[in-house]
Amino acid sequence: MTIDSLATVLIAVVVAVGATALLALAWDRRRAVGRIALTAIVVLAVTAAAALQLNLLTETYPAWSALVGQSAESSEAPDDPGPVSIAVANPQDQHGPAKVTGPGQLADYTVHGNASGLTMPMTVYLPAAYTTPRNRAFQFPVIEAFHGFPGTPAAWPKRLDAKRYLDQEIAAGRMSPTVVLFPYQTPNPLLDTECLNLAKGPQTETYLTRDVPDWAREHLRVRTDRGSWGLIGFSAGGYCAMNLAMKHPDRFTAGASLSGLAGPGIKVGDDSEKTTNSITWRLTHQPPPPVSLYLAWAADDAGPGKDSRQIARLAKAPLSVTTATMPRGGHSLPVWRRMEAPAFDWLSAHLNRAAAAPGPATPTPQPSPTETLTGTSLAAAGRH
Amino acid sequence: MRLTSLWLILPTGGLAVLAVAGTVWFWRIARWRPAVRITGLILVEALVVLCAGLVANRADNFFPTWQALAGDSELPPQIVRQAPGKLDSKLAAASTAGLAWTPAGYTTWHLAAPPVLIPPAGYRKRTDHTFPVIVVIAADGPKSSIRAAAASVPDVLTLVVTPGPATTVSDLSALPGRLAHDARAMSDGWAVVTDQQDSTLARGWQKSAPARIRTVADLDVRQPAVAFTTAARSLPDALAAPARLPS
Repeated sequence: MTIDSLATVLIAVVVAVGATALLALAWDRRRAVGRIALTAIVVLAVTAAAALQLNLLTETYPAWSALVGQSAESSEAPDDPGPVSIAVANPQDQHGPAKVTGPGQLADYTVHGNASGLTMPMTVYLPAAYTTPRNRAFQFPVIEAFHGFPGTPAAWPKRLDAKRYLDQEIAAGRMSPTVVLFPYQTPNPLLDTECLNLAKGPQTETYLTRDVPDWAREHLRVRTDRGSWGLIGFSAGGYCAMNLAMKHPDRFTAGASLSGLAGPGIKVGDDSEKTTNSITWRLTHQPPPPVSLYLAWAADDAGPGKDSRQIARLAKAPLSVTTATMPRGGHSLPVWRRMEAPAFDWLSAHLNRAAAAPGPATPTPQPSPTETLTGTSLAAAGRH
Repeated sequence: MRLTSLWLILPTGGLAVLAVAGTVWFWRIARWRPAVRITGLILVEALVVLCAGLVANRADNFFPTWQALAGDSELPPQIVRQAPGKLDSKLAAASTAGLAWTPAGYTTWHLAAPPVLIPPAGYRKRTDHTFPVIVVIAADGPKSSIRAAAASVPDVLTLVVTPGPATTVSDLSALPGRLAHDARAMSDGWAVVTDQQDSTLARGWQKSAPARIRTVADLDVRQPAVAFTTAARSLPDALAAPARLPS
């Protein structure tokens, strides 16, 4: 039984009720120590049930192993691919990749970050067009997707049903076949990094903007130019998407924020939360970068709404901002589920298409990720 | 009543206090002691957890309303059908040589010849799609070899423009707006293919609209396909009308 299932929460509730009944029934037959012990058990059981429900919503601990101390940094995905091989392009490739629709695949890999020193698992969505052998000469555009805090990348497939939405938008032709990366943003589930390099802490900005892209370029058939890379995130991840796109326009061309704030809301350790890591500060003190932003929020979500409107007001060319609002819904998973398809569509329209790899072909004997997916597919592991 | 209202939180907290007091009061004197104790404790637990949840919800505004909590209060994203271009039927019938495009006022663009629109294969069938645009700005644009190279690029609408000596960046800036009326052209996914003679004009246009014009590729009339391939690599796919939020 998984830690993030409804059955687990219900069992915890039943245990809490049972412990409560035991306390009530055994109270008269116990002395002080026994009563204190029973009371402590009840408090623990109620707290655990509430915590499990919170975890169900946020996916802060997506597995029991994470709860007992196995951090993101120390966990390893079962199989990792070797360097990617790209098939030799042929004249037909100028007509673009074969149109293939159908379910994509989710795969778990481990990213060893040379620049940041962080090693964390990453889930990858590969569209059906990617995995078909006919398209092995093609490289695909990429979206990096960030989660909220507390949380983990598991929130995207499990709580936001991202795979279904991606499959749906691609099949409908509203989105190009795109590789989507779901990286961890912190090695410690209870440490909020906001995708930044913390003074005396993890260098997650470096990990997300250098290590993850470098890993993807080496192991996946993805395009390498900035025009093919976009970012998306919800809640804290929305801030991440905006901030990293604006700080690294040499690597990313577009960012989509779903209910993101304009600042990190944490102490970075160098006061940069008031300057270079504040989006409004950047917009008023530095030249605007040539990137496109999509800002979505619910009208009754006060903080992100105020910040997003301010960002839109301050934006100047070559930065372009598109805004989209929901009449209500707050700061919640149902809102982000409704926002994600339009945001993915918008991103796709701002990213380059899949294209044959430039230059000479680089055939290598190592298997491609496509070929090593079987053992790592989340579907096979019972995830959706 | 909103879920973040103090008028909900305070009574809930008050009920929790009353439940504690009542449970303590009846702990020993109630007639059905086990049932009263169990009910009282569970009531206290539920109210305390509820109160804590409401306070946290008020602090971070997760679910401001009951509808938000239920998760079904909002309309799903809307799929607005792509409006047809005014010239769609003519473009569908056009050959790979393209169609002379003479919108009202095009003479004010100071071009040496009317622009030519070359639709991609599939333009006729994919009526719900918008297409990225490659603008050819070159004296040799009308040449058949260049038109053939343009027609071979998949999923791209090509606009061949032959500038005159008086054509300016401002003139070119009028193209996207007009084209959006006449054809299913994307508003942002544009690229330019240009010859040496018109390079300054083309690059000036890109500088004025970097979000729209993603790249400028240099045209070699002996190998025009190279420039088109380069330009197409910087463009998005032809896409169906996107899902949009209700507002």
